Amino acid sequence: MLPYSWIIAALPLLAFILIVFFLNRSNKISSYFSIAMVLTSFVLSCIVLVQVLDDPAPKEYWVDWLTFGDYGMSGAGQITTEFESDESHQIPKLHPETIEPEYERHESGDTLDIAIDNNAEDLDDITLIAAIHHEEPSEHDSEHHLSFKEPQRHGKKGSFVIPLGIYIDPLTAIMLMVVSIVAGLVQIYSLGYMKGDPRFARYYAYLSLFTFSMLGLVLAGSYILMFVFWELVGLTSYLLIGFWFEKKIASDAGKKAFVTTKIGDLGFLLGLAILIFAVGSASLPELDYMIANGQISENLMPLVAIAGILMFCGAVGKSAQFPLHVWLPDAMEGPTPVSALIHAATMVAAGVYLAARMMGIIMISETMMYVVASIGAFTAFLAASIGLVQNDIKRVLAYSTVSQLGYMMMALGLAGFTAGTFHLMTHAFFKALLFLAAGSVIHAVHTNDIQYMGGLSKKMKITSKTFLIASLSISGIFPLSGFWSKDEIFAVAFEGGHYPFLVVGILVAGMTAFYMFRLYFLTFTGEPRDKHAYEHAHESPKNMTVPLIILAVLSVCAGWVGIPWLYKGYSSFVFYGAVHHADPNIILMLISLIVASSGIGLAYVIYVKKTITAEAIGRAFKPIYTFLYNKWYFDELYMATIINPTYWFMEVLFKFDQLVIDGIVNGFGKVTLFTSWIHERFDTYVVDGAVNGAGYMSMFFGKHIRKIQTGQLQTYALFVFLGAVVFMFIKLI
Amino acid sequence: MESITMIKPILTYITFCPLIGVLAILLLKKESVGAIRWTAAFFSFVPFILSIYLVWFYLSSMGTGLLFDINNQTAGFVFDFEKPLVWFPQVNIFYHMGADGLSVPMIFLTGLLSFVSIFVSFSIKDRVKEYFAWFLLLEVGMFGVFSALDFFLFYIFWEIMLVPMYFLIGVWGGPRREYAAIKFFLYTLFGSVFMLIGILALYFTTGTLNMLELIRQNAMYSHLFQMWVFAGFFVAFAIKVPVWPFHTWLPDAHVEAPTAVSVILAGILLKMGTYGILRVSFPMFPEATKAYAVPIAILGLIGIIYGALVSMAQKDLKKLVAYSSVSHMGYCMLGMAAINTIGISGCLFQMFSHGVITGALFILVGVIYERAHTREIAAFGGLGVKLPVFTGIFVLFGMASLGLPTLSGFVSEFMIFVGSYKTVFFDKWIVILAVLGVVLTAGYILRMIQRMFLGQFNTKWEGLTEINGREIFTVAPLAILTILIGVYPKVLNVFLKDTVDNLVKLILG
Repeated sequence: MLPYSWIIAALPLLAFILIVFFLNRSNKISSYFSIAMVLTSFVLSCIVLVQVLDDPAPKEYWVDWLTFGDYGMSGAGQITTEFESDESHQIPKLHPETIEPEYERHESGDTLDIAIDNNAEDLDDITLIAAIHHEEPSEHDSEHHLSFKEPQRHGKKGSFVIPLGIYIDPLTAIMLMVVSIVAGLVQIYSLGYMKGDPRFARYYAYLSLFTFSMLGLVLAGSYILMFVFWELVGLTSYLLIGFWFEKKIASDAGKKAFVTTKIGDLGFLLGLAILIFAVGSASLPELDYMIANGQISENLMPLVAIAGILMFCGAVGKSAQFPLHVWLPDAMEGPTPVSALIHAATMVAAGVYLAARMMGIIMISETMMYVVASIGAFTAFLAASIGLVQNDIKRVLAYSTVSQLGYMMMALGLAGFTAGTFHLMTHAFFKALLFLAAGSVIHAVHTNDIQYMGGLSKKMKITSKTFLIASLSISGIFPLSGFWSKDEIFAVAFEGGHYPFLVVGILVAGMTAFYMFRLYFLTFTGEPRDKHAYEHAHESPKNMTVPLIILAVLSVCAGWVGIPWLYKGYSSFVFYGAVHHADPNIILMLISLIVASSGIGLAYVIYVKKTITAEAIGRAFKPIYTFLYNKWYFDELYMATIINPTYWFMEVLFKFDQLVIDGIVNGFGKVTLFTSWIHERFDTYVVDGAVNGAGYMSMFFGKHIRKIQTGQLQTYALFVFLGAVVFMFIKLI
Repeated sequence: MESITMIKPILTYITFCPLIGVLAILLLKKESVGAIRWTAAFFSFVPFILSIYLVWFYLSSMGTGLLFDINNQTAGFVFDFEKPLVWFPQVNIFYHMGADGLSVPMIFLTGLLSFVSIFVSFSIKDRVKEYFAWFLLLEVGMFGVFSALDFFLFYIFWEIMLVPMYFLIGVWGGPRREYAAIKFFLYTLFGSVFMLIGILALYFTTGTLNMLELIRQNAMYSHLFQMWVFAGFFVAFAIKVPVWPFHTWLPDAHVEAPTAVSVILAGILLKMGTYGILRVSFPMFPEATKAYAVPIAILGLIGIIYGALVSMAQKDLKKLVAYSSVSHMGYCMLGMAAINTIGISGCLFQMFSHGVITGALFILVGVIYERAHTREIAAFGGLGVKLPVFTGIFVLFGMASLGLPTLSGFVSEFMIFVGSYKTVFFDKWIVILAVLGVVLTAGYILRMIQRMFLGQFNTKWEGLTEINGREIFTVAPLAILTILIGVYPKVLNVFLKDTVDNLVKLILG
């Protein structure tokens, strides 16, 4: 199966193509076909997962995408391979080459000095990635004790190859399964939610394309291919966020999402360019291997780290981390199932997935790890604080996503590869559930505003129960999945001695519990605040509730694979480098439980018992409340500092173009015309004047002198006589 | 030197087939519009098919291994005739036609876009006979420029294009057509003068006008000579590209020109500038090329950012696309200034894909203009409701233009960024700034899409009809090419790779 795992991604693409070109006439066939494809992908993903569980050694499959000669390339030389044709199964010999023509010599610092001493024994050692081997590392193991399998090398001598391929390791396998199951459930749910929409078939086409892009991203074996799917994910979320594009606010949101994430993608693109410049490869396993085994020379390491930071910018954009978090809450304008997909398994997950894949690069520099962790921690806090006061049910959930993604980033920054990806997985389930349940509520009451809800649990039994389960899970209540994954993150922070991060994490956990239960209480308990809406409310149809139930089960159980006392749990399956997970710490678990419970308790006191009213608190802390309610004024800030100046600048440039540059061109023309006008005058009056003057003179004289040409002999005789007289006078004088 | 000669002089056939079309059309009656149209279609279809044959022939010659001989600096050509035909022996002028990896894709693109444009032109209603005659004559010039290997011939074809273009804009154009046509004509002619000076300088130095011969002898040009002559040629080519700040003829010409002419202008004529630089300036003046790499890169950078920002300010849809060309051709300049294989391949990819994408965008602008009689972006709104297919196609090409992966624009941009980052000829900050262009491009394309197709449907356009079969037929091949190159760039790279390798080796010595 593994060599053909691209089929998992290809099936939804097939659905997209068929719907766009053939099936779109029939809503039913389109949607069923799309669902059938994604469910098949899910089954195939399960097969892949089973196979990977069986043999967790990473697999890679490549094709050449582009080949160039390597003339004129600076930067690090490439490591290229000469395959020995008859012994292709053997480990290829490595030929480090510095292809540096003469003129490049002055470019200092970029030469490559690789010491590869890979005799067969060494390679045998590091091939055993699956086995947990604690042997003392040889001299080229880095401080992180990483061990990687020898990756495939690409290209021949004197050529520069950009290969594309798929890479399957345990993380890939897990993500494939998560993405396909969430996408499948969202598609089934949409049957009910989107019923009667005029663009129903197109909606399914977009969903299929979205699923395809995300599955492709997960399978991608090189950062270049990852970037390709990365952008496709961006495109499809643009299409889906702006799905109801008649609403200006929706099309604005789509545009904002696209442009904001594109700013992050600049970093990704530039990072890629630098990476290819410095290392000559963008293949995931090759990079990990080269970094782990010190095959990148010392003086190039900082450059690789910079590339890493830049690529991380892409993750910041996609995962809506500070300072590019502004698009995600606006993205709520899309249909709710889309939000579920974006928030759980696709768009925002992509950023964390990338950061996880970049683990090797991130770990090059301490500073970078701190940057990642700090951005994560700050975002977690920022979003949680905004989430406390929002009234739109989807917006609260959106900020909770941003906050949870912050957790994951923090974990990755603290070298908690296992913890971060584990939380990514559990979060996918409970956040999808939260959104779909919220969608079910919105479907029933036709409003997003929790101020007009209340008491819905009586009418929507399944929805309210599943929402409660998800809320408990995200709050980190024992023994739901959120508890285990959040605790793994705390354990990482504690073990590494990163106490500030730990404190922020626990604080945010309390805030999360508070706002989630504020949401729950306001929506489902108490007296209905809008009688009209309440009366019309009803439980959603089966095709919407069944996905909720399945996700509820997953929200409870998915975390159990990562219970730290398990002999072979998640942490011995998905890990970076060597198996390692933070030791479970009972006290830490208790603290996090107490904090979460007190968050829930506080929400209960305020919103159910009403011992203290929310209004009173709002009044008491008016400035803070306004500040939070306005989302820390980020939108306004960006408007004033970036967007408006750009608009101003473009107008100025256009004026400049018209007046100055075109002015010069036209001026040139005018000057030419003017000169030619002068020439023309000169020509008419002076040159031609002279010519005409000569003609005129002869005409003039001819005209007058001919009068004396009378033909009378007497007259001529008179003239002769007069002439003779004149001469005589002259002679005399 | 072993050279590959075609069994039939295909390039000659391709170039002069439209000329027969011109004669045929002139013989037809003015009133028989249908006959004229289909004659024109036929005489642009034949060279298109021949250009496909050329593509096939070139590929199969590459398979023989004869085409790229390491000892031969100017390898990679297939020729029409074994030896250049003697034309004016007194002054060493030959009839010399040949094509290599640079020109084969361009000849194919010319064939395709001309054929497509003829169909686009079916909506032309007045003075049909003259229109198609001029159009086919224009095609002769375009094919000629890409196949000529003798400077005299090259220059003739280069100038031949101006006349039809002048009339096509000046007669069938928009309200300010005369101004635009004269501006285009004079501006280009102004550049050509510098080219002529350059050609003469080369001729008096070497006594030959054979371009390959001139490349072969590039070692004998002094540094100073190279610097001056390169600059002269550069002015001519830069105006054609157009490189900032020589670009202001472009928006005027584009806005006033009829749709099909805009397609040709953006798709082919602009590419002649970059083609000229890569065919003439780079290999003939390697010293100067290296010396001028920084200014070229900076001009490219300015073009990218400046073009994108000015695009964003446009209210007229066609003008927006026109200024976006300035931005996209800036990428070409940046890529070629890198003088390495990835950068120059990226430049060639960008030439090809910009031709396809922008050509298609102009066709689509024409489609909407014919129906709505306005191009003002703000006048539209919510068209996605009424015209879903048109919107879908427009968004596809919009995305291609902003460099979405899996579409051809991305491949070229990516190669240009990687190439120009890997170069030794200019600093990295140029690339870092140039990458900003990606966001700006996304900004103006998305703004345009939003204002035209999204939002509340403007009921004023209730009567608009969906894109019709003929129009879909014209953009479909372009869409296929865009996706094909985006997904599997090897189809184009296979032509370029060895030629680009040769070129870079030649420059870097």
